[in-house]
Amino acid sequence: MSNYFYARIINMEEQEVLNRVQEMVDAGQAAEALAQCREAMKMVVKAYERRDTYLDGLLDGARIVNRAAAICYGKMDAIPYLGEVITCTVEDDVHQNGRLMAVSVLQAYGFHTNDLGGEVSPKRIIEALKQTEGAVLALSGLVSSCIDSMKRTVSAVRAAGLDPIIIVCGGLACAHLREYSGAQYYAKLIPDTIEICSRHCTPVTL
Amino acid sequence: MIKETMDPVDRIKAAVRFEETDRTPLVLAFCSPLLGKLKGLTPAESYQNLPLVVEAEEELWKEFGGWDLRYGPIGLHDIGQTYPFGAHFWSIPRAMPGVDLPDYADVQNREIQLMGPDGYDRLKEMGWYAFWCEQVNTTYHRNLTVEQAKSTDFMKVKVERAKKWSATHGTQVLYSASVMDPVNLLSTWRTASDFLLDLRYQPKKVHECVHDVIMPIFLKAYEAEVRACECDVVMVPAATFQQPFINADNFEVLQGDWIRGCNDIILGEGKIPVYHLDSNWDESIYWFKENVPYQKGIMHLGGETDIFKAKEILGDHMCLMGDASCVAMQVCRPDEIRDYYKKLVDVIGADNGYIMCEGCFLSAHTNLDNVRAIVEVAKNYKPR
Repeated sequence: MSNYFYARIINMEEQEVLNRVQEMVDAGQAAEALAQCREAMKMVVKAYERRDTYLDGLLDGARIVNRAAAICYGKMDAIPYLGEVITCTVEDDVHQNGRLMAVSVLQAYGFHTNDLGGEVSPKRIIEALKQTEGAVLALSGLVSSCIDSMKRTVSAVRAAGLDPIIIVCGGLACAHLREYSGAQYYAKLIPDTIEICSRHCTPVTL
Repeated sequence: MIKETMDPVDRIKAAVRFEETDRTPLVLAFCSPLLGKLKGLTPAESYQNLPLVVEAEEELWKEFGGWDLRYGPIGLHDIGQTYPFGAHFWSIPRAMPGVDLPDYADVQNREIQLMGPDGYDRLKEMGWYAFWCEQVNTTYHRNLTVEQAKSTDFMKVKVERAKKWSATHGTQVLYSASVMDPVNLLSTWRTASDFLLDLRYQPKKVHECVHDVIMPIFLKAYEAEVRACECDVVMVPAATFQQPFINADNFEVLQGDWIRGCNDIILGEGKIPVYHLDSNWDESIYWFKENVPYQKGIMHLGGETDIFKAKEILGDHMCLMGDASCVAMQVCRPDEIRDYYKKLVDVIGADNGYIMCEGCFLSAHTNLDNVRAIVEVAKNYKPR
């Protein structure tokens, strides 16, 4: 059945996806529908990595799956997630778009995301981490002033006695930034972020 | 120090033709806040003290013994023109240090949507200049007219500034016109994510607006500026929207014809194009080998594209320039920078087709000792 959803997503048949999900939800199969939609999203990510689709296809897939998932959530008492991911753009950087693209794909893939927004202080990040045990922290930034912000953020998180997996993401992400900031990983592209989160997140049901 | 026997611009031209030079050519692009740092200014203060910024660049010019081309004018606030800088360039609202951001932060484009999904129809109906005026007047509470949008006053100021600088420094500016790639501009008005979805769901409208409505106007403005500037080396703006953001077919329509159009203009004037490629162009390097004439241009890479793989693909087809990223220039040690640039000379420059430069431009938080390391390699290192 996941091929059904994948084929329709790739062909931009959004209404067919939503209609079929609604039918399944009405038949008491919300959990199964959600699982199949998320499986379809995994296939979209693989298609992007193979270059069978491009960033527009990845974003559109996430958009459709998230809409379908919202139908399922309404009928589920407990929702399984691959894990918790906290995302933000660090302080001194106003950029949002790339981060929001990644958040959309992470959600569709099956992660529970807590997106803190842009220009986020280390203090707010620490508060969020304390409230979400086991979360992976993904720090985003695009301009040079975010480089020291990322370092300050990672240092503050460690100084607060917290030890999450931290990924530096976005246009500047590279080995130099990872090393300088003290993060464990860097992720240039959305599939990289997904791969790291998949390895380190602990499944949760919320 | 290597004995210099060539004129700076001749040195650049020789590298483009893969001919041996006395030393590796060197190009540097400073932003105003980095220069202001030399004078103890924050980025916010730099934008308010441009004479000091200019003074700082002159001091570096003396310290380094000059460099071969001044890449600029980067930092268009030098020109004293009120933002936006005209109807062919960035118009999206900006966050400024000292105003919207801390004093030490970079100036940044705000990712605000200026154009809704129905904007394509309005753009086609109204034409570019009228549409631009409508969007800018709404966003900035101005009353710009179409005539003002078409004004070339800003361009004239830039051209004069470039001429004046060239006359007093024994070399030229690597000229960057006040015209950007149309796909880049329109995508910022929609935001990149919505633009990509537009490309998926209404590709014909997007193609028509970018390729048929805006591109001819921008190429005309670009041509005027390229002809007016007395610079032999001119930047082709094509920073992003390459594969894998978009597929090859979309790239051809949205960027391919733009780059080819700029090429025709520059080469028609007997000048040298510099392809300024930000972000990762690994999957599009092949396009340049297929579409750009042999040994006529320079590809400037910004540290995200793999310059060594680019060299494998391009061979001696095109001179490469670059490429330490702004992260490397900020956080690496000078000895690491020095070693990296020696490697670039040895590998990329083995056949003479390499020009030393930073990736993109030297950002506000660059470690100036790393710039000194680059200059040291350019002026002292020549493999036997």
